[in-house]
Amino acid sequence: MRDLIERLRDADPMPEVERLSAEDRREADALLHRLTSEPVPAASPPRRPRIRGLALAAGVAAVLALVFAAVSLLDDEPGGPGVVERAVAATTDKAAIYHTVALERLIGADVSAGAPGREAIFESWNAPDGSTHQKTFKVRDGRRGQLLSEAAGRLHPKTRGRFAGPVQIYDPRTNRIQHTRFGRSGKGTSLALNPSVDPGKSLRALQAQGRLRFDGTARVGGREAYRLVSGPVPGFAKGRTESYEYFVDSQTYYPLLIRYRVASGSDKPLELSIRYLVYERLPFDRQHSQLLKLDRHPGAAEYDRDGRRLNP
Amino acid sequence: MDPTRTQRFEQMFTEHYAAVRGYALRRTSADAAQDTVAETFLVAWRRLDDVPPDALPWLFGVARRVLANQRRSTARSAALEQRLAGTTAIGSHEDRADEAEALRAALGRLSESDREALMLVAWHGLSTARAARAVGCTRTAFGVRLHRARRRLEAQLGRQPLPTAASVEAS
Repeated sequence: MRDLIERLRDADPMPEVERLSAEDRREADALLHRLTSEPVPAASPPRRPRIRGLALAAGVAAVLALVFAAVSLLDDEPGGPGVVERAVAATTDKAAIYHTVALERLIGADVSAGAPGREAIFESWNAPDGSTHQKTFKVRDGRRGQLLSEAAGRLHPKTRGRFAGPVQIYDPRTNRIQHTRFGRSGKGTSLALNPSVDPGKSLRALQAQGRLRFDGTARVGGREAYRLVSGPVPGFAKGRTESYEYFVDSQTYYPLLIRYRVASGSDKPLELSIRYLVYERLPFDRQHSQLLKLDRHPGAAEYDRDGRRLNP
Repeated sequence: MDPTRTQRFEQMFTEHYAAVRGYALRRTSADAAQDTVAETFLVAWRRLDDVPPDALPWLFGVARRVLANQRRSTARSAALEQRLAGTTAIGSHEDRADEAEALRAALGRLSESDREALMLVAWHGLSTARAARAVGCTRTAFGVRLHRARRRLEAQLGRQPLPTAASVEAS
């Protein structure tokens, strides 16, 4: 019995296609002439990492979660997410840090063109006091590769739709740290998880409210998972609808996988898949609180939000 | 014009034009293949400094993305399936022709990723290391992908009876 690859080789419908006829050669010469007549770009602009789209999406996802936290705490609508959030926040262990490592994949019209498998590893540490530290990495063999971006700060709501609190953003390409503040966002009804509170309690509360419903079981990474789904809900931005699909550990109710879809008018829907490799609670003690700070970056130039250099 | 740059490009073009053309022709129609080859080498010309010494896997990777972009805007993806399923069988013996037809039909039913892995190795003669570079993954990951693609192709072959001589003639 011949090897499958060998048999497949014999099944090549065009085994001679690499042999060029005289006409093929003329075509090739003409193409070569056309191409080498093209002006050469004077200097290539610095290439941005291919992962930019996903890094952005990971940032968007993180911001969505953070935005939800801030907005929810301000939301007085009866039965709205603010009520759930307040209830969960009230019972969340204040001495906890929630640590996540997630493989995020983005599929959608905006960023996936020509590059299937846009993905990044997103790692975060979040405490109930609003402290947050986030890192985005390239994926290498399914693990954390090169650092793409890092941010650390403390988020708390100030006025409706506006956040307060400083944040430092580190760009490893330029070795620069930007000191700035969290931005603002509109009110929303997102079902994104607040990463600063117990995820199991949040999800149970949303389920009890009927905003997520149980839709069977599945196995995710070898673990039994419950599938919780939302219908389409109004998104954060005007005219957008979102839907959520959570696969949660049947024992802890911590998320194992989230599929988040957002649609806007006639645009192709965007899907973000977040596969949690780690979702754990750490004690908020002296040692672990260091995890909420930006890593040390020797030699990094620091700038304030107006672009003034802060360190010599 | 930088003569060294042009010479480098000409050398690469001469060396790999036929292979890139073959890559495109096996995956799309003749017209679209011509566009694909032109666009692939245009990318190479503009980004010559990014082209690695072993240029062929890199060029295949560019061609693959060019084809993917084409497919999004046109219905050309059907061309590959037609090519795989509808070509006249080649071989001196009828049983060999039957098997070739069955293999191409089974290949056409696989996912694009599986098909690409098998075609790069079987039809384009790339080693697993070079094929991995063409699809942009590690050698190990490609090895796993190829192994699974083979299994799935075998499963497809087991599921489908060999075409009869009549069906081969009809295609």
